[in-house]
Formats: sequence, structure tokens, C-alpha cells
Amino acid sequence: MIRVALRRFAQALLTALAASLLVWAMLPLAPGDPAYRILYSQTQKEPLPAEIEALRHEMGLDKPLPLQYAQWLGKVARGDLARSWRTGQPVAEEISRRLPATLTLVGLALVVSVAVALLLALISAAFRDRWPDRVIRVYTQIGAALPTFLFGLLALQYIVVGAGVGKVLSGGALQMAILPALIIGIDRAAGWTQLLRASLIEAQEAGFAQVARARGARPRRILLIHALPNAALPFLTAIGVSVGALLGGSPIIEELFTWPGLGSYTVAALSARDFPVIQAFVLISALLYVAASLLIDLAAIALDPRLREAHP
Amino acid sequence: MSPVLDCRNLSVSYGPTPVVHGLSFTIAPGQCLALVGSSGSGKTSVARAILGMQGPTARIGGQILVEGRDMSRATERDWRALRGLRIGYVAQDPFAACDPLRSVGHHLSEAWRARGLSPDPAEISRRLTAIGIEDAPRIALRAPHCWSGGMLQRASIAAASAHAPPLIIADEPSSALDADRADGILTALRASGAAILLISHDLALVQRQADRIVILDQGHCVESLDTRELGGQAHHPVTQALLAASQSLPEGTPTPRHAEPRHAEPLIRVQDIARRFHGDGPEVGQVSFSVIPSQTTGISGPSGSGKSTVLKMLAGLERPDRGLIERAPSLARPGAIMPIFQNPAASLDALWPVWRSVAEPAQAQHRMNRNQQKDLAAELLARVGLAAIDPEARPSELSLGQCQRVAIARAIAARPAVLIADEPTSALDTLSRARIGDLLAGLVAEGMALVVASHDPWLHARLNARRVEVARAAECTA
Amino acid sequence: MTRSWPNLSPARAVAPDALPGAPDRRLLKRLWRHRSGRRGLILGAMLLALTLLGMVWTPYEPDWPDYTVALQGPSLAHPFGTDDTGRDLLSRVMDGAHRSLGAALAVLGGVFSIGLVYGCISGLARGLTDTVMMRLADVMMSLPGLVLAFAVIGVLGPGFVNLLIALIVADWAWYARLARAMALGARDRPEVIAARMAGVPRWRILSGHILPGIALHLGVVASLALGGMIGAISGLSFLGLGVQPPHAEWGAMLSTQRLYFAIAPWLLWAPALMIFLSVLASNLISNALRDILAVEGRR
Repeated sequence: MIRVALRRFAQALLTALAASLLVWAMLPLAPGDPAYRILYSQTQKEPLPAEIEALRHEMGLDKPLPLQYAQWLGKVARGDLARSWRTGQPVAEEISRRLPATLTLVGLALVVSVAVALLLALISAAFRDRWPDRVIRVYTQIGAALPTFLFGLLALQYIVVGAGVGKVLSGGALQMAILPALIIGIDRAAGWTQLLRASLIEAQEAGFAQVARARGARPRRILLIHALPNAALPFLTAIGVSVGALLGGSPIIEELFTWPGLGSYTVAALSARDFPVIQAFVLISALLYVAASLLIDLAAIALDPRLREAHP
Repeated sequence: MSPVLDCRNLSVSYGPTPVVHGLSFTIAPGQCLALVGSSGSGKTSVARAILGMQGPTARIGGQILVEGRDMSRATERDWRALRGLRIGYVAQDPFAACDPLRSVGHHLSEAWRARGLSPDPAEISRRLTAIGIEDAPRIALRAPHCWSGGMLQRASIAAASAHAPPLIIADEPSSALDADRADGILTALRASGAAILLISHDLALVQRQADRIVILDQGHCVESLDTRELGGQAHHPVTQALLAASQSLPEGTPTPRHAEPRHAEPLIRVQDIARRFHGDGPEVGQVSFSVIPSQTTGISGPSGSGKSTVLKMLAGLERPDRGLIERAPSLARPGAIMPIFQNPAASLDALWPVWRSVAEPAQAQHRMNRNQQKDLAAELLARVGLAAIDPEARPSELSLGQCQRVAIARAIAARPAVLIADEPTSALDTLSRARIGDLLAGLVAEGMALVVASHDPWLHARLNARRVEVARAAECTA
Repeated sequence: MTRSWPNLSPARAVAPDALPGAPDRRLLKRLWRHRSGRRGLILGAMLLALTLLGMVWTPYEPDWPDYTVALQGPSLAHPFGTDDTGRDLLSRVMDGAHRSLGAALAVLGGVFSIGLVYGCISGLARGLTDTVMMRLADVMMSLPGLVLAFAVIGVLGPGFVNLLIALIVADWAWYARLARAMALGARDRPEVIAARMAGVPRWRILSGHILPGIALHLGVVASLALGGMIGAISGLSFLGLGVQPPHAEWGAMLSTQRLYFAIAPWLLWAPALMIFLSVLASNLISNALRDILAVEGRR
């Protein structure tokens, strides 16, 4: 088991390295000379060729590409994420101020949606095709058909603006995160409930569940002891996908809730094509996603003895 | 002594037509009664009805008396009181019967926990030791997939008999295992001392183990007899067919072994071929045989022994590591060797109309226009007895038996000299199996050489096959 | 892992073994017989009709302001009301339909074609080519789709076409992986073995047996992802990264019109309803497709 876990860990490190290569490659892949664009965006004037040449040398853009990557990676490893092209401020500082807010919101939203999905799917599977199941299925159909940002927008407008509950502007504090996290969590839980309900029902009909029933076990016991752990495996994968979607969707979500996190910082950078900021956002999301996938796979390995065997 | 189980005029229906009609039998304490029939005869429906697990869509008629108590008006709660305590259950596939995430020890202890009891770990170990498992406390912590099928099934039996129920229902308890393990499993079952309702399709096994036999066909009881009476007097045709199917062939019949009196030259001569494990597919022990026109070579062996791999080597799709396969020069042309597969539905292109699949091999040999292809397909379909189907149909619209006949039509479209069939009947019901057997026998009579891999003794008998045993071990007969 | 669910990055939810059954030409008929399939088809047909109509005719000129009727609530003349510059919202959602839905279809068409070609080459070539091609795909798949999309937008800059390119870059690798898995197995499929043994030329096996099956399968997977894609596009347009004003697009409409929510809440209704109904139609059809194909896969 430890060998499998170590192998998975090494794999995660490689993935992170590959992601860093992709992030770095954004700069050489982008059309146009970055030195020109930096100077232009700072002064809004046509820069002189000598100025461009000086900056190119200063940024190391005249060196061979592999060397550039190595230097960039070295800086990143030391926590230096360069300076914003627009503001000239160090990106790392800004990000370390905003990252906790994003993590709070994403984490809380995950907790809410796991709790809601678990509860509803268990009720749905226990009362299959009876009224509680039917009601829950209506919710999942509607929730699944509302993209998170749309549901968030409507909920925000009607609850906060319309009914005056909570505040629109929030400082990123934990208690301020509760309402957005509830809104996001309830929307995302719809898809999860569908998934978990289907896996639970599949597991309830599996051979081992039939045998347990023939042995006199109560349906509730079968659901909790056998069906839930077996259904948890695909559910874990779904959580992993969702972490990625929430991180990737953070610019949209944070723009919507005016949340002072990483995402809203990136939105402004996107239209200005402020490279260091976009690169930092992509890099940090990628690393968080790799870490989350690793944790989820380790959890799956702990849960399922079949995954513990080292594959050749 | 009052019977443990008394079924009176039992019928089970899921739709308008019942799957079990008016079945009556009794089981005395300690007795083993076997319910025998081919797939689709309704025997599993009977087992489920006796556990009260027939599902909400089923309707039950007649009476089921468990230890004299009439269960026809029983609620789920009443049934639950019986399950595990008074009626034990052993499923067909031990791996499916165990929760893959939990240890086998947990599986066993669930027999107590399901009833709200908590067993002593020492009790679990004692039960496992009793079924012949050494070092039980440690082995019990292992997950099911680390166990062998036979041992896991024994553990399932231990779990089913945890509360010493007077009746155990065993649904094909040995059919997922190798043939030589079957008797051991049944002996273990009988050792529990409970009366046993054994559900099986294997009359030979039943004959060795059961006290009474009830033969089911299409939901009707066609014969009910004492095991000692079997094989003696005249039987119902269904019984005779089951008997024939389950008996292995007497040695040396019907074709003499080896030296062929016929002057037909072998088309393929296989000498001592063997194949190591390559990461995919099993290893194959040494085999030798020849493929002769108008004859069937029947390859048999336990599952996982590499029957399919031998066929692939014959077809030239894979190479042996050792040994020699000599093919007659006439087999060098494409289409001289054609395959028939195990899963009929998957062996045809799902997107193609039947005529296109059938005509494809002929089309590869010389170009034909659409109408010529359709005409040829119609002719070949008529030859395999499918003149009535729509040649425009897609495979998903045909039954499995029909798909298999289409696949045979496709094979003969290439005018092959050798047909290679991998378990051609294992996915089919009894009736379709018989038809495919007849069809293949007809092709052999017309001069085709047939190589068939199957674990079905009936098919080998129907085709007069010269048997070739494949085993992982080096020895071989032919 | 056999179900996908709507999220902002749909294709990653579909595992290679998600659709065991082979779809065929009678799929539409069977969809129609399926309860939720029929609802989805009816709803989808209505939306499609509205989209096509919106391309040739709208009740009012969608982009022309008319300040005399600004911010009017729903009425007979303007069923969804008018926006802050007096543009008719019904006309605008009809006009925006071909951008919102067309963009989703374009992205799916893009990932489908790239995935099919890339995956088939990789799977059929095997060996080193396969390894190199799949490592590249793996790198793309190591990032969440939307993060990758933001990276591409960062490189190329905002804009409608760039948005489409970004979403294609974000998702193609998943389709390539799926196509490759099927191409790898294709050689050993019974009908392919039979054709090989009968001497059918390689190119005819490829074009007759292998490609149509993979294409159809991949097409079904892509269609399952439609709902999530509509959501993703409207989400990115909501940030102002997609369609530029004054053109109408559902997500962009939500973004600009939410400022007026306190005085004119109906501004949100029309685009929200259209997004909701499109994703709903797509989900209904997806669920039915999965039911139908899963049943067939058991044969």
C-alpha cells in the first residue's frame, strides 16, 4: 500500500512539473514581444528600441528557451512570481493576501455540497421511486440545468439584493463566505446527488447486497454498510473534478460575489493581458488541483483494497 | 418428520405469462433436493420466491411453507426473521457475493451483525479453520479478490450456515468454479447438516450429491424422481437431454483416436505448440493435433487454460513460442480460415445491416455491386436458416442465436476450408444451442474442417469431435 | 465512473467505458420512445427553431436602442420587457441564441474532430508515436479545463473566437484519449478480426468498421457535454471574455443587465430562462441516451 501511495506521489510531482512547463510556455507562445508590451502598458507610449532591448536583457529573454525555463522555475520555487506588468507590484505578495479568501470559499462550498449530496442521495436511494425520491429528483434536474454562475446570480439577486439578506460586498471573512458557499454548494450538489444516487442504487442491486439481504440484513444497514462505501469511489472522483471546476471557475464566481480572492484578481488581469498575474493564477490552480487529485486518489486507495495492489 | 420446506402449486410471474407454473415439492430435514434445468427454466425464480426476494414486480401463486408455516401472506418483516436464521443462502459467484471493499472476515461476521449480534473474532477464525483454512486470523483480514474462488465459496457457505439454519438454498454454488472443485463445495454444504435446495444445470454433479431431483423446463416440473432412479428407466426427453449434456463422452467414441483411416490430408498440423504468459492472455501448455476436412476437432479444458489462444495461433493471429504449425498451401489465400466468436451480438458490426456483414468477406475476394452483395447475403442467410429475417436489420434487432447464425453465414461467405469457433454456443439458450450445433454439423458433413473450443460437452458430442485437452501443464492428449 | 454531470468542464466526467452500447441509426427513434428523451427532443427542437428564426427574423432590431421604451416590464409588445437602452429582450435572446448555442456546437465540433483524428492516429500507430502523443495529452489533462481556458485567453487575449479556441484547447485531450482507447481495442474486435482473416484491405477495415464506430461513439459523448458547454460559454461571456458589445449573447446579457436588478428584475429572466432551457434539454437527452446505451451494453 505504501509503495502504491509513493508511486502516486511521484506521479503527482511529475504532473506538477509538466503543468509548470505549460504555464511557463504561455509567455514564449504569446504573440508579440513581451518586453514591448510591458513598456507599452506601463507608459502607454511607443517605447524606444533601446529600452526594449534593455528590458529583454533584464528579463533574460535573449537567452535560450531551456535556460529561460530553468531560471523561471528557480524563481518560482523561491516564491518569486515576478511583478505585475500593470501595477509593477510583486505578484506573490498580492496572491498571498488573496489566496486564503479563495481557499475559504472553495473549501466551504465543497463541504456544503458534499453534505447536501450525501444526505439527499441517501434519502433518495432509501425511498427509491417514492415521494422523497421524486422531490429530490426534481431538484437535481433543475439544479443540473442551472450553471453555477447562473444559479449564483439569481440567488444573489433575489436573496441579497431582493430580500436584503446578507451583504453584497464582503471582506473575504469566513462568516461572509457562508452565503456564497451555500449558493454554490447547493447548485453543485445537484449533479453530485444524481451521480451518488445512481451509484448507490447500482450497489444496492449488486450481488453482495442481495446476499446481505438474504442473510437478513435490513435495507438501511445494506445502504450504509455496503452501498455507501462502494458508491463513494465514483463520488470521490467527482469531488476531484469539482475541485478543478471550482478553481477554474473562481474568476466567474468571485466576480459574481465580489469576493476578494485569486479569481477576481485574475479577471482584471485577463483583459489587460497582465501575464505574470495570469501565469500565477494558472500555476496556483494547477498545483492545488494536483494536490487535491493526489489526496483523493490516496483516499480511494485507502478505501478500496483492490487499488492497493501494485500494478505492473 | 415435518418437511423443512413445502412448496405447493407454486407459480411465479413477472408479466402476463408465469415463469414458474404449479411447482410442488417438499424437502425433509437434512435432505438435499436439486432443482435442475437449463437457463431460463425458472429455477432461480423459485429460489428467490423461497427467500421472499422475488421483487416488487413479481406475483406469487400457491403456497410456500417454511417449517410448516405458511408464508403466502408474509410481510417483509416476517421474511427477514427467517432469512439467515432459518434459511441460508449461497450465491453462484463468490466474488460477486462479497463486498469488494471489505475483508472476508468482515463478510463472515456480517452474518451475525446483520442480526444485531456481534461475533467473537475467535469464533470467526474457528469457523474458517473448520472449512480448511490455515492461519485463519491473518487470512481473514484479506480482501476477497486475494482469495481463490473455491476457498471464498467455502467461506460463503460458512457464513450462510452461521446460525445453523435448517435449510440452505444454494444457487449454482459451483458453476463459477473449476469442475473438480464442485464436489468439494457440495460436500462442504452437506457437512453443515442443513437441508439443501440445490439449484443446478449439471445433472451429473447433482446425481452424485443430491437425494431427490426435480427437473424444470420452461417453468414446468417435467419430472420428479429419486436420485437412484436416474439413468435407469425411461425418462422425459428434457431429462434425457440434460443427462446427455452433462455426461462427458465415453472414451474413444465415436471417432477413433489419432491415426486417421480416411485418406484426407490434414489441412493444419499442430506440433507441440506452447505459449508463455505475455502479459495478456493465458499461457498455453504443449498441444499437438491435426485439422482434417469433414472432421471436427474439439478443444476443451478448464477456463483460463488458453483454449482461445490456441485458436488464435491456428488462425495466425498470434505466434506460438515453441512448436510448429504447418498449414497446407491451399490455406495461404485470405478467407481460407474463418472465425466464429463467443459473443454473437458483439461479433457483428453494430452499425451495418446484416447483408453487408454477410457479404463483406466475398466482397473482399472480388468486387460486387450492392445488389450482387444483397443477393449473395440472401442466399447465405437462407443457408443458415435465416431466410425469414430482414437483411436490412441491424444486429441489435436480432436475437443472440440469430446473430450467431449471421456470423456463421459471414464465415462461409469467404468459402473457407477451415472454420474456427470459440465457444460458439456459450452465450445461447438450449434451443439456439441445438440449432447452432446442427448447423455446424451440417457444414462439417459438407466437407468443412471445424475447430471448436468449448467447455460444453454436449457440443463436442453433437459434432463428433475428436477431443484435444488443453491444460496449463505440459501434458496433452489427442 | 459511468456518469457525467453538468459542470464547467464536461468531457472529463465521461470515462472511456462510459458508453458500452453501440449506438446506431435507430437511436433517434428510441430516444423518442424514452420519456425524458422525448421531452428533451421536443424542448431542443423548439429552441433550435427559435435559434434559426432568430437568425433571419426578430420582432425588433436586436441591437438598436430606442430610449423611449427603456426599462419596460414584460408586456404584449415586449414579452420579456426591454433593457436600459430600450432594446427588445425577446429579440435580443433570439438573436443571441445562435451565438450561445452555435458557440457550444462549434467547440464540441472542434474537440470532436481534433480528438478523433489525434486519438485514432495515436491508437492505430501504437509504439513510440502513441506514447509521445499521449504524454502530451496527459499534460493537457493535468490542468482543470477552465484554468487551461483562462491560460489560453491570457495568451491570445479576450474575444469571441479566442474564447472558442480556449475551450477547444481545454477539452480536446479528453476526447483524444477516448478515441485512442477505442482505436486500441478496435484491432481485436471480432468483426475486425473476421474482416482481416477474410482478406479485407486495411483501409477498408479502417473506413468501414473502425472509424464510423469511434466517430459515432465520440459524437454521443460530445453531445452529452453540450449542456455543460453552454454553461461554460455563458459563464466566460459573463466575465466579458466572449462576445463584445453591442452584440447579444445570453451570458453577456446577464452580466450587463444585472446592474439594473433592483429596478428591473425582468432583465435577467429572458437570458436566464434560455440558458436554463438549453441545458435542461441537453441534460434530458443525455440522461435518456445513457439509459438506452447502458441497457444495450448489457447484452
